[in-house]
Amino acid sequence: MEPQKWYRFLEIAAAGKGLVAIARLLAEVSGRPVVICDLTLRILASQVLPGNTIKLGDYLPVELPREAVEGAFYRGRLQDAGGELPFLMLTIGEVTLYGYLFLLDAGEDWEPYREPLKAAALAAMIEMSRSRITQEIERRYRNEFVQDILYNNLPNREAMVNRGHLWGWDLTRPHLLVILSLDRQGQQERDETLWERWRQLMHYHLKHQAPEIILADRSDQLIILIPVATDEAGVNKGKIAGLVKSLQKSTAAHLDGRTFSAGAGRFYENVTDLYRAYQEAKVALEISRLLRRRGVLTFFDELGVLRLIFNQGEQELEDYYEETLGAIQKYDAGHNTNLMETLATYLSASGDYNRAAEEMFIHVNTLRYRLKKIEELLGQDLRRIDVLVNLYTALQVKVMLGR
Amino acid sequence: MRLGFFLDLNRCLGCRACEGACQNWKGPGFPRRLVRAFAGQVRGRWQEYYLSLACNHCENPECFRVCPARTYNKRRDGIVLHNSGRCSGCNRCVRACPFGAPRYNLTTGKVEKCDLCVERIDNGLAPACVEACPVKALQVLQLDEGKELGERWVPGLADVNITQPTLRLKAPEEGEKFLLVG
Repeated sequence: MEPQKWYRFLEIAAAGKGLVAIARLLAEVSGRPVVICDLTLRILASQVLPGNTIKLGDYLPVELPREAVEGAFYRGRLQDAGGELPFLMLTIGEVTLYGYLFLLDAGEDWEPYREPLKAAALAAMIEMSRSRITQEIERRYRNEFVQDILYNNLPNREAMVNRGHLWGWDLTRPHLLVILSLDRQGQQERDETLWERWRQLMHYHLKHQAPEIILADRSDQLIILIPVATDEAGVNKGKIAGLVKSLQKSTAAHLDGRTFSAGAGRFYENVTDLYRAYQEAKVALEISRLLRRRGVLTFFDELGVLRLIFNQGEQELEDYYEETLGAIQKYDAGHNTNLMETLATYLSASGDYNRAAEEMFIHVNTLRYRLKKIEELLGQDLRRIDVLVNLYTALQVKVMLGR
Repeated sequence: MRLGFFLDLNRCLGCRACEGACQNWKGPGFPRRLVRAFAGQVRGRWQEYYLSLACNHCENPECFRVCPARTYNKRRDGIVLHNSGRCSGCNRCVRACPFGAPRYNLTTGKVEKCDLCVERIDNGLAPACVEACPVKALQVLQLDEGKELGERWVPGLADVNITQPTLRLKAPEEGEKFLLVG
């Protein structure tokens, strides 16, 4: 490619004409359709030549090629309605990845497109890094303000409301607070790329689904503030559950099989009490993690007895577990039985014999026999509510202790 | 960036210089740092060490959550502060903290706790307890994202799963300990 064309791409970037102008110039130079995507494969700009029938949605339906054909160039095939379409792809940015540049309908003879693609990728990188800097500055200031609210660093309600106005937020309205966090997989270290991709996805979906929602992030958590008009717990919980479910559904395809969980604090009328909702949401999330739950929404006010025990020391919890369920564990280990599992299934089936037996693939009479054995071992009557509450709590403690 | 204490259990001699320095700097009353001795079986071995503990400036501070008077706040650098002007002395934070950091002062009728000597930190100085430690067992750490230092929990410390303290510890190493005397 002659230096004049490199110059044209860089001139577009320097003038800040945007990704669409870069895509248009590349399509003109190459005579092929061009798509520029972010890291989640969301289409940021595209240019389809006149007469071309390719239909593109919000996301490019493509699996990223794993092996480069040369340098940073990758080849693959796009699943289109009219069949498979070959493409040539170049990553935008090397040390820091910003996105992907696709040249569609580029067959075996892709050599002539190398230089135009390189020039376009460099121009796109300039555009994207510039817009990322702006977004990062905005994000930093927004995070700091939200954290000042949630960590009680502002002197009073007026200060919060006035500063909220600068951001276009009405903090005189009550807000619900929800925390989202990617579920950990064992001792796996935090995956920065995945986290960033997830954050961007959530930002995009929330902006489109509910623009009035305030989004901030801290450490490995996303903090969502949802303005509400009512203090009815049922309505508000339904709203939170609906939002979390819809976010899980719309982002599942981009998370490589990972899930995320949510914790929600109680409803508070006043913005000055949001710090409490924030702490409650974090506690709810941490407890659901301790119970090894994944992809779930936990409400702080539904934690029940767990709220009373989570702050107990490990030794106290060990003692409680040993005293309540130690005999069953010992019997299971010595006789190769599964009374503990039977008890857990029976309690999770809310004491329904038929359902519990069905879940364990055993006959109801077998279940009755095992429950009788448990009663003998514990010397307690499983029809008494206080006994059931104790056993349920001890089973939760068992999960918390990782036994 | 978050600030937190770092305690090397191999170095701490239990001399209580940190306690004394705290009391000296903060004035009359009680020290906001306490040194406790731990002795017990750890992974099949008998171990003895000292735990010098103050407020752990937790990521999810329970004192902060339960206070009905908005007495607590957490600065951007992670330091949890107690505003005694708002404190009614209800003691809810005293009961909620698993580490026993906030303590009730009978003379003032209010709760007091370690503030990581925030006035010294803001002037580029180390907290009084850190400065006083003769063996440099106690230090202040900057916990940055993705950088993990030391242990989060050792036997003798309360459960850290929920509150997630910023305290980091260097666990006692295997082997015999010899102290030179005189």
